[in-house]
Amino acid sequence: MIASQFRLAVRIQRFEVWSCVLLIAVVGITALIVRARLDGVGAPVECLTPWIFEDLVYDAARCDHLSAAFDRIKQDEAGLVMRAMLAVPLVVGLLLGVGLVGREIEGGTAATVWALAGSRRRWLLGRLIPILVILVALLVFAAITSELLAAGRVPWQFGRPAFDDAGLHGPGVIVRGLAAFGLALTVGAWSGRMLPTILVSALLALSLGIGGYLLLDKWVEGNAHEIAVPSWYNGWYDGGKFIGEFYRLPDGTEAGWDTDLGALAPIGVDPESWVASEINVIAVGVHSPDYPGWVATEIAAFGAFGVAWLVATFAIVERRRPF
Amino acid sequence: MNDATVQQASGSTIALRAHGLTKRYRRGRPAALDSIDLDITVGGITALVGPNGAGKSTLIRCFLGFERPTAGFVTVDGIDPARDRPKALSRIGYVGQEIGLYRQLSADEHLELAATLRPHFDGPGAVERLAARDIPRGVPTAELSGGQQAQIALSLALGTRAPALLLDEPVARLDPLARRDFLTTLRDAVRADGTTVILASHIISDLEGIADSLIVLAPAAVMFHGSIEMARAGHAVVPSSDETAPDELIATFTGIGGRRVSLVSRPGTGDASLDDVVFGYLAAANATRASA
Repeated sequence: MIASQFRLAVRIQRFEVWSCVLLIAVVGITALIVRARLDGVGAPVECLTPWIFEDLVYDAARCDHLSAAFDRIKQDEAGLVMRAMLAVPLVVGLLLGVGLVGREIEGGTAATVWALAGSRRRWLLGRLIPILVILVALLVFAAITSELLAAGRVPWQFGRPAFDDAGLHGPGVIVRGLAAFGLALTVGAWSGRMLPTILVSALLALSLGIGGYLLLDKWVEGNAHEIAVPSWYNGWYDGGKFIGEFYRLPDGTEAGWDTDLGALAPIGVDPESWVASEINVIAVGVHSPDYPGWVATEIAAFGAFGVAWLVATFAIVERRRPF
Repeated sequence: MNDATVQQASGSTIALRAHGLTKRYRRGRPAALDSIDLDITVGGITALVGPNGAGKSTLIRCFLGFERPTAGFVTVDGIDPARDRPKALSRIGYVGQEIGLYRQLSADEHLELAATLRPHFDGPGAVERLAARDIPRGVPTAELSGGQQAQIALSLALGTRAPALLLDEPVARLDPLARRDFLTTLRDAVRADGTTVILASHIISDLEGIADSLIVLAPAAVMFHGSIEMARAGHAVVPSSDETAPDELIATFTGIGGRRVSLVSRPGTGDASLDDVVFGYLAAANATRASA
């Protein structure tokens, strides 16, 4: 019976299912290809971020063309795929969610199956679970491929996470897709009409995408802490997202970024060496070790959002007319 | 409801009951059903006839638990669908105005789906019925005619082996041949096992040979409820100019051919057609509304 339910649920939504499979396959495989192209450049990290290595002599003859080639792929191709990852989970969630209940009501099949099933909850579970399994499988594939690409864009992190593409890879892709699915499902169940459902869900999904960035900003603000910058190089990088920076003077006070530090050096001391040895650069924000906290937050936020919509759908389906 | 003109069916066990049933979709708007009382006994096909907006679909949807009564209640086999919808639905097979099939699924897939939704669904019986009508079972229903789709919908309803079948104008969009096929299948299937059927329809001539009893539903009210035999033998049509006793006159209306006629109640001696009975009671409903 479970096999039957699964097969029929897919048959009923075969257009959406195959569209989503195609979309995820194209984007996911493209991500893998772009990752392979990034790796294929063969640019060593010393060429890409020489400033993270102390006492490194930059080999311009060897590195310039490699880093240029890497940057080109990183910005153009990988950037495009990562930007697509912002929309892909939302589109897939919407496509699968919009018609699941909405089209049944609009097409008149809801009356037939609700009369047959008796328990609408059981009917909805039978329709929902197969599609949810497919959705999760597709999103997991998208999450893994985007994760691989995101890691390939920052090889100087040596596998540590970075905030550069936060929300566009890994679990964030899965929970965003599920949230969009729940949202479209609910709007479809509530309106019972496809066109309004598509329009309203698309608008809400867009808000969801923007909301993800606002959530990240809020989370960074809420979790920002002082991070000592270990080097004077401007290009210092540790995968972080920063909202401020300042100098800490030897007496513990803070000085703004536009402070003339040399003027603060004690009389008789070489200002340049005093600044280099006594002044600490402090960044305010989050960095690589904080990334799991962000992932937990986005899973909780979007997961709760998706679950709330799913629960709302059950309540609506239980109460509404099938036409 | 006009008590003087409503004749309640009498008999044994009640399969479907409406008591004081009122359904108002919006406050301040006329009720779709207004204090309806109906007892439909077990077995037989009851034709539910009335103009658009009379409340036929609303009545059926109340039995299905698709609509919640504003006042009063309905029961299916003693179960109030507003209180226990799954249990009430387990006793109902349903075909709606919209045939309600998945365009991309075949008949076999619909039967497979029904088996996953309804415990003890009679798949083999449904297959047999479809085979008897030469309905292609392997092609998407979108490729089938309206009549064939209606046969599939009916097979789904009959396959439930529910004691009550509610059919909400399923033949309205079918050509005469397809209508006849549908109704023949229905009659053959339910005669054998004593299923109770409510068949809502506009097409009175279709009901003559198939229905056992008749409900005439005027907007919001039951105007007549009795056996087909009682409907025909209990009424006569006379020229409107004839003298009729006030207590036997039901209504005067324009009959077929444009002449003014009166439907009168003459138990045991009448010979009215079903059309005349329906038109007469609907005219009575109009007159009651106009005088109100």
